[in-house]
Amino acid sequence: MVLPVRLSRFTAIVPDVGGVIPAVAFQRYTFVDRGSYEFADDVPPPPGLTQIASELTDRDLRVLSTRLLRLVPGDYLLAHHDSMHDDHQVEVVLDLSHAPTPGAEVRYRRGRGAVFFVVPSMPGAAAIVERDPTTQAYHTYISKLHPDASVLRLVMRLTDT
Amino acid sequence: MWSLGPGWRDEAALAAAWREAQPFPHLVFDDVVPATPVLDVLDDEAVVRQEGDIFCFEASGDLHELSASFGAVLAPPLARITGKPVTRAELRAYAYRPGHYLLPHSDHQDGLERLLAFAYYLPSPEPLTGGELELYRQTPERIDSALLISPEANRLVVFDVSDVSLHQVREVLAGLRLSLAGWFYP
Repeated sequence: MVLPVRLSRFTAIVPDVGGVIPAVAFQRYTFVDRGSYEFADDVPPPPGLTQIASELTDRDLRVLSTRLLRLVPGDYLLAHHDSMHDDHQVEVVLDLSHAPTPGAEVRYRRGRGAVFFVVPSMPGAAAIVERDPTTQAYHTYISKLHPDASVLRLVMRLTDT
Repeated sequence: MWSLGPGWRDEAALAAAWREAQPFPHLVFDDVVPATPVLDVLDDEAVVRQEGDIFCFEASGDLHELSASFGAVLAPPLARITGKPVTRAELRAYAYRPGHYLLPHSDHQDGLERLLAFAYYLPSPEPLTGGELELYRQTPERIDSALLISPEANRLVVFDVSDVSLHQVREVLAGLRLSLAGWFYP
């Protein structure tokens, strides 16, 4: 499910998250057969987002992890670098980019099967996905045809309390 | 349909070059010329856009006739040169347009019996920027770019298929990159 943030209760959430970004120190990850990107872990979860995810999924959720991902031209995160779990975690992806980037998507698939859900590049949008043990996600390659592209995503993993 | 140039005559030297090549065994031939222009053969072949987490390009289906002629000419000398018991090839045609890529990966997959990988570059109808074949040196600690091979027309690149034969096709930024690519099998 992709929610346009500016049309919902997320309106109050985006500024909160945006406020922490300047203070975040990103680390670069490069293992070319897995991914190339920058990340920052343990970013404070946006207030209210866990509650909204709980309501939408009809589950009582708590935050397992939060990670900011920044991808620039040439970056990507492959499916087999994604972590899979036996429990049915909920993943929230919040697009904090300043501008959309053509082709920059998060795609979800089951095993090596067809993609069943795509998170578009849509600044201000949030996506909520209930994962099953076979769900894999990947962040598509950012084309160098868009040299100024900078994709910023907050990825939260939630589980039942 | 295929003729091999003088670069193929000294198989002992080629075998040594294969063994010593870095970052993993490979050979580059610039004198593999089809007797019949391949582009004419491909005129009627449909290519379809394909996209996954590591690739985005246009590809044909299996080209059985072309695969058979390619394998018949190249498998015997390559078996002698590489020591790998290859007997046949399977290939497809690929078109990379601006924004297309193939991210770093190894072609090795259990059960597929791919012994050698290859790419044969066709003349580009448009000037090309990007699209180089990049080979990586892989250790348990790190992976480094080790070699860039430009996709020159009539160039054939043959490389080993193993867990460490990591390679990619760099994103095409302009022009059209046309190739035949696939694997040799027992």
